[in-house]
Amino acid sequence: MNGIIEASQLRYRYTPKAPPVLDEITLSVPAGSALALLGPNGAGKTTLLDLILGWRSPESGRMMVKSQNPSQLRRSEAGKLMSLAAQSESITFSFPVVDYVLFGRAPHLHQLRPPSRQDRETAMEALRTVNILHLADREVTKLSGGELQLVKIARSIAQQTEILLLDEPTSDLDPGNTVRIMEIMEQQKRLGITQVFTTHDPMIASDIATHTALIRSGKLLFFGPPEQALTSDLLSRLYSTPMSVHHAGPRRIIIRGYG
Amino acid sequence: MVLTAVSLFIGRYPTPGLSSPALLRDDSVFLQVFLQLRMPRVLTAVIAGAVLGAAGCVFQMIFSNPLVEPGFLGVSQGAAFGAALSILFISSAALPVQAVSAVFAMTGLFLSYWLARKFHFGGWILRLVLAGIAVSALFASGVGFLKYAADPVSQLPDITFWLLGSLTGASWSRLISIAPITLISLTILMMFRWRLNILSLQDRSSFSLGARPHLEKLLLLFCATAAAAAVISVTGLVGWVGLIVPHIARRTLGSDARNALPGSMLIGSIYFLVSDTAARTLLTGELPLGIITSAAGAALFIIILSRKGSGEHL
Repeated sequence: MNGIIEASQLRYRYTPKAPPVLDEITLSVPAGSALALLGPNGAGKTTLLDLILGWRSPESGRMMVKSQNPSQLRRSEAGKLMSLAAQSESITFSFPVVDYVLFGRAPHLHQLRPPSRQDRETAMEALRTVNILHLADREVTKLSGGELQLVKIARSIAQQTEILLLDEPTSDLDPGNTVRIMEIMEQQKRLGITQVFTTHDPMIASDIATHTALIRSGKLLFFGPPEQALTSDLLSRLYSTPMSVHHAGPRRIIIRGYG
Repeated sequence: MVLTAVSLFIGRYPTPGLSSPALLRDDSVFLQVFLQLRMPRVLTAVIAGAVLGAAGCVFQMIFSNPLVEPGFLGVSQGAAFGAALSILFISSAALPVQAVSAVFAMTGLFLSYWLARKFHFGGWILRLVLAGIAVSALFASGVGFLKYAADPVSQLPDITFWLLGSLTGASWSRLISIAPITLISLTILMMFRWRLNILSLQDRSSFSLGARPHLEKLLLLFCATAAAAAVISVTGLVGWVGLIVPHIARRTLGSDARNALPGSMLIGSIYFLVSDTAARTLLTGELPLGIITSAAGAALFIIILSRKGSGEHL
């Protein structure tokens, strides 16, 4: 088995004396699949994204993206291979949306070269893909949470990478926007783009993911296909709270056991 | 350009106000004033304004903070300390003051950088900010001590005048001494103008876009600071130019550094030139430049921020 993303026995800690945030993480993601990272707050999901991105390097173990160590890749190569839609990205300056999406072209350009007309066309195309062409001239600092999420994903799409990293793409979104994001992820999946996303909503994992990693306190509780991962037993252990999985036709309905 | 030409002919010689270009031919003293005093001074103002405006723009984008300015990393206070030191112990002549203040301005920068690497608190940018604050405070107290120790009749006025900034010392030789570093730095900054947008994002985001944020930010900070240090060593502390000019540029031209950076240079030049022309012509004596730039800067700042529709974002 040789996936586009291969992690073996990863361990990571923020400072040498702190307990590991991630430990003994081994997983393999085939190209074109969608991996959902599920786990409680602080379990290490975002850190794992950072390790894939190469922004952090493991203390021990090995992370390989397309058979290369992501933190040693040439930056422009890495930027053409992977894009990141971060969960919270505070933006200080009020760029127009289209200019912000244009930033996604950076890895394709020499660092001293401004984007061309063609890059601008790619950015507009990304806006069209995400269906937010009408936002093109709005200021990025004045968008709603849902709009900003779509704009961040548009920037990733304009980056034209093989791998899309999405940190909680649907958190804080209303049901309508959540579905819009899910549709975009489904569409990227059809295009053969590999996606790794974190979420607190197991149903999104159920609907979209081809692979699921359950992470609890930095350790892999389970890694495998959603039909094996998304069970009442595993999810209850993952979140330390009763969870129950029901079936409605082809879909799973996952609810918290409360009261 | 027009403004540069016009300000060459504004002055208190031979009569207060605008002089006729014809005088250049008829009055040899005026020709001397024109060539040896006004020309280098006006050109210095243009370069100084462009540097402080550009450096301010770069600083604000790199730190993702619209309230920082080029003197931020211990540079201004370092230069002030150097100037005071020179006035007290070496000479209050223009060149030694310039040399010593330039040395200490760069010392301020390196000290801030070195401290930032030593600190164990917060991210890289926050550490730089904190180190800059600490180094500035250190040099500021040094300046305070030197002022206290200075001869109140001969030395203190020199220090005070320097601290308020002025272009009275501008000359061809001083202009030439700062021209290479400022022009090289401005060129490098201009080459990176689109890249600056990427670097203004959070480090992780710019990293994911294929940048090496630490390295690239450091290079641009170094260029901006070196140029600002060179300018400050000639002009003294001319407050508010690096702070207010990028705001005006972004307001009028948008945040995209492709426009905001050259805009900051142009507006900086104009702002500096107008302020200096006012400083040397309003009164019979020379008004410290820093007083004018600060007063006008603060007024502009208040107007910009209280204008309707100014939005929540800078």
